[in-house]
Amino acid sequence: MISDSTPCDDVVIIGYGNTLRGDDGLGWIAAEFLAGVIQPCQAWVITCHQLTIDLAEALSKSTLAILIDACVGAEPGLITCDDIQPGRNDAPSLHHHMPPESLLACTEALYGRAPRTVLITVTGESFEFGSDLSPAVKAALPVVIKHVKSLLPDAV
Amino acid sequence: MTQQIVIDPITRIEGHSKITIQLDDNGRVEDACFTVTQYRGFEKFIEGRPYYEMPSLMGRICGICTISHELASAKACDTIMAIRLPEAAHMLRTVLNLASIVQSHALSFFYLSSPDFLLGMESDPAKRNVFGLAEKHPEIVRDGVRLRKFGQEIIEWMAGKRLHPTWIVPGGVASPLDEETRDRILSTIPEAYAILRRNLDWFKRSMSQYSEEIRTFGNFPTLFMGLVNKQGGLEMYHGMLRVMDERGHIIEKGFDPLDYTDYIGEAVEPWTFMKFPYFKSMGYPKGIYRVGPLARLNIVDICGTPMADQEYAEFRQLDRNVVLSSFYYHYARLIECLWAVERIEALLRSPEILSPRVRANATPNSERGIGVVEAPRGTLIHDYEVDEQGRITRANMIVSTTHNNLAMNRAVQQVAHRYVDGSNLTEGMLNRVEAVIRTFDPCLSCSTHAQGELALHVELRGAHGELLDEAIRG
Repeated sequence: MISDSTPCDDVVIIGYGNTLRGDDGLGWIAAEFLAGVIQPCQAWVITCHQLTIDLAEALSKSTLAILIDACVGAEPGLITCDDIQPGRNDAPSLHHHMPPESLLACTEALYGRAPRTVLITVTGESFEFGSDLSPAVKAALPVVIKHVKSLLPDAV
Repeated sequence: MTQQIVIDPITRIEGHSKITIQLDDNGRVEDACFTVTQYRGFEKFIEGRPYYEMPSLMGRICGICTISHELASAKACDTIMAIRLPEAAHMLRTVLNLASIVQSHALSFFYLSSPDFLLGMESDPAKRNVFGLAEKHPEIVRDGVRLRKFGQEIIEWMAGKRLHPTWIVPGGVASPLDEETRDRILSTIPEAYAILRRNLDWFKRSMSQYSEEIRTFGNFPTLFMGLVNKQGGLEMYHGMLRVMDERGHIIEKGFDPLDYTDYIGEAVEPWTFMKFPYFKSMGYPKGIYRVGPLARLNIVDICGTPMADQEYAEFRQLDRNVVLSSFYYHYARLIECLWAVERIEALLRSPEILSPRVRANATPNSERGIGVVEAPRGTLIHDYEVDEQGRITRANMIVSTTHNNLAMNRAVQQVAHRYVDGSNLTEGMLNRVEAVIRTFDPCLSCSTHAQGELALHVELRGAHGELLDEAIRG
């Protein structure tokens, strides 16, 4: 779901994942939480299941994009934070999931610019059916929220 | 010695499937079939659930045509309750269905099929993707993004969210439309018109480039079926089902969708999870028919809105009686989008749409409910039976893509015969076999159930399983 939670589109936060597959819902849950605690002038919050080309327009209007996602790895709850660049190594589907780098490249090609983009990922423990986060990911959630807030411009 | 070419899975469609092409001893195409390799269990696992849960549950079948499933399901529930809905509820449901059709057609035309039109069937597959498209024709891709957004935003603003909203309920909708939302939607309509006008213009101009595809892409006689309104006009929500033959003769002027089992049979083949509906009076497989945008524009007398009717007049000039080539599904999608935007505007400008009465309530009064709407890809049927407590005891669905199964298989055969040379596999050859399937815009997550990722692996194998040639992408 893309929600116009604010007229401010200089910073966009995109939390994505499947809230019915355990820890995969981390990005969505984090973004929804942020939408409730930050000021409307600080960021435009978007929640969605997957990154798709539909997001390119919103990204093109921003100078900073913060993407929040769950990932697979050996250490559940591990938080990583990386600046990512437009990348064209894949031949992404036009309608299904796109890697973040491909989405940025697409944004650049379509609109002539792409924002600085920070990708925050949390390693998930369980991606089974269910809407609850695992203890490790649940514990990481406040840290993610705090970090995202630190990246945002100050509230007026 | 016979040989097989297997395209598994097919790319740029919704869902998971494969195409098998059987070659003869001389490497010429002998036969071809379109196989759906996934299954859908919805009819079975909803048994025992209360009927009023159906719209929300059934919407989960698909992430693209959620709204159509919710509407067909809610209409089936309406008949179980045996109630008459407030007019505003019908109008609001209609607007939502039209918005869903616009966003789905935009996805099909701009995202899935435009790489073939704009970059060429024979173009390098490494560039026949979003980057190639964005670099060469950014303005058209941007139009696709905006048009899809137009449909999605209407759904979000009216129903609360874009994907799997719970606003459509048995008896109507959950809440009325407010003036602010109506005006917000109306303010987006001029841009939608502009997008459709300019994209209809370039597509019509470019169609002469595809004359060979038009000639060979699913271009054969079949019946056509879809809903029409009382005036014989285009209709996506209410109406009667009309059936027309390949010469333009109306063989069923309009039968009640509730009687669909009198007219439509469903055959099963052992090599695919998708059934084969057929027109009963002609038998199987002779009763082959097509549904969806091409069929709808063939069966109607008019579209019923000014701009769409102008385009429709041109569309009817494409062929003598009935437009038979499945390639024209793409063109029909754009015309339907234009019609849908005009209808949305007309409905929103009616004061009645703001009525606060949007839901009727009742307990089950009938043991069976059937709901039929036109989904983006064609006629969608939900059919439920319930016990005294309103729990589902049996369910059957015939979704749009399933209606087209016989036609898609025949279309694959036609294209394979025209383009495939068994001695070697070329990209353009294989892409055309896939592209003919894309004309139908199949949604396999609806017709069965989606699992897996899309990629393409084509194998050319000899009669004894030896690998003769291979192509991998994705």
